[in-house]
Amino acid sequence: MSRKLHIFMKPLLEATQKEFFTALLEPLRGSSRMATDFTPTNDPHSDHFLQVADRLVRPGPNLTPAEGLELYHRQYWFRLIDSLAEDFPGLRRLLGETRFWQLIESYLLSHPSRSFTLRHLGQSLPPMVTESEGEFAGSVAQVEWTMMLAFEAAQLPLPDAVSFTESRIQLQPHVHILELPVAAGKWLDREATDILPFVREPSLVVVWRTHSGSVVHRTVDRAALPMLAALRQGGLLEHLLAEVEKDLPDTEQVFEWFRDWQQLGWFGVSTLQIS
Amino acid sequence: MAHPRFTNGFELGIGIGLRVPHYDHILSEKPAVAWFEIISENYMVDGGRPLEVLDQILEQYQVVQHGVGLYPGNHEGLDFEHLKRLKTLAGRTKTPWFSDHLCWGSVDGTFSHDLLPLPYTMESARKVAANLRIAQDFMELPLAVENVSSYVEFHQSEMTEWEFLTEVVEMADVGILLDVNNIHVSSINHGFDAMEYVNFIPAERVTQMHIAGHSKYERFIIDTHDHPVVDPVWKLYARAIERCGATATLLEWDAKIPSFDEVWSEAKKACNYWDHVPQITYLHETVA
Repeated sequence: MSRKLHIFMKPLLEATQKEFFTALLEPLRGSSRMATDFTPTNDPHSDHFLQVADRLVRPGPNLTPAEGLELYHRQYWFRLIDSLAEDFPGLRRLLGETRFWQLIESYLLSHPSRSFTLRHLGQSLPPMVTESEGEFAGSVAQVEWTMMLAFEAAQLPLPDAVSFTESRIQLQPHVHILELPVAAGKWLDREATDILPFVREPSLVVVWRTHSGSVVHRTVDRAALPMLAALRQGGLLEHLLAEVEKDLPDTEQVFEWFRDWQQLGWFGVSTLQIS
Repeated sequence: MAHPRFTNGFELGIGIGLRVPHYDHILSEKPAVAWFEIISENYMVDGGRPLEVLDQILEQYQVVQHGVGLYPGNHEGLDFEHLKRLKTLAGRTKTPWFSDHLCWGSVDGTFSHDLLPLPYTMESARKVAANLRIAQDFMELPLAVENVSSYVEFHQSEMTEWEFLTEVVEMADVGILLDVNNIHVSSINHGFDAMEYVNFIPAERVTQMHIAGHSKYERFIIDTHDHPVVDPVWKLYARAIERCGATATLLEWDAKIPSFDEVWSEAKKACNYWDHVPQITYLHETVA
């Protein structure tokens, strides 16, 4: 079969879906855009959008092809921007409305959803924010993205008195440790607007899921990092403590941490047990 | 009534969607609901509160899985990672059947998070049917495919939506989740007779029905699932029950969700249309 004939016979379904999808990914325009907090523009829909509508869509009794396509177009955008606004409220507060929505539009144009779930939509936002807005905003975004990861992570069995001494213990999969160049966690906690008091303070932020299922974060003593790192790897508790003994402060401080972390539900019985 | 091979032999009555705002009420009050429908993708997680609540619900209630991410109309075919997650969840829920939509939704790994309409062509029908057969075989469970509400039709369509749906389910040998609200919405948007749709589809394949509310605008209707069911939809439902017999029915209320009691009260109105069909236990026995 000649190449020209093969192209002519290309299935319509594939071409239709690819073309329809390109229209969805175009920027919002007109009344749909005005219904959002995106920077207003008088730009109309592109010629491409209108051509896709005319080429693919049959005129309806009440809507033109472009109007019908517009309904899917706006649903696509509204769904995504609502999701990101819900997942990054701190970033929104930090950047302010104008800059936040400029960023979100730019992000979605360059990073459309690559997952079956909207929960993962913000995966690439923290590095993009760091690059465009700086490390403080990037750190705030990182904490908020990590909260989503903690929301859906697995849960290991909680250790009891016996398993604490006889089983491999590790941090729960939903416990995430963030080494940040700034005190983004404290800024989020205090619902502050001014970042100046927080910029010069590298911080260790732990994000986890509580017993009730809500996701929270806390800024912890950076001296605890060696012990947390060892617990991340997992092992028999006495071995873990022996490994990090030289890096730890006094015993009383370690036990205080340990009691605190246990109450918070950070520990789990590892699935890899001693043979 | 649907042939038992489409319902796995289960006869369910009236159910509602399992929604976050109702979690606490359901767990504490244990209302007499026949079954709950879950959106599968919301529980495709490794852990966390959604699964914890689901496990508690499963101790007392029948749950049926309804998905929004299978996209059997995708020209690229099915996502087997998605199917594996779906099957893992089905092992947990013991769902008697699973359902998803007659739609497509992603291209080259980019997702629309919407239920996009298909052109009603034999090419589409063959593609969708092939994907549905694969999905049903993989899941080892009866599959019901739901008609979506739509806001566009394609120049290339060769048949009506109801002819297309029928063609697909018979080629694939799967069941139908008949959404009468979606039929109404689409009938207004595209100017066809909704009752013709209900009268055409193969009644013995209707595994389950959906009823829901919508939002009416000057020139179109959007399927928003945020209002009570309107009379024209009840009329379609009545005819569907008359044709299909006692069929598991689910009220969808997914946005601006009112109290559990209000949603359940709305759902129970479906019982009014069951008077002339063989009775089944359409209200769950009171849970102790």
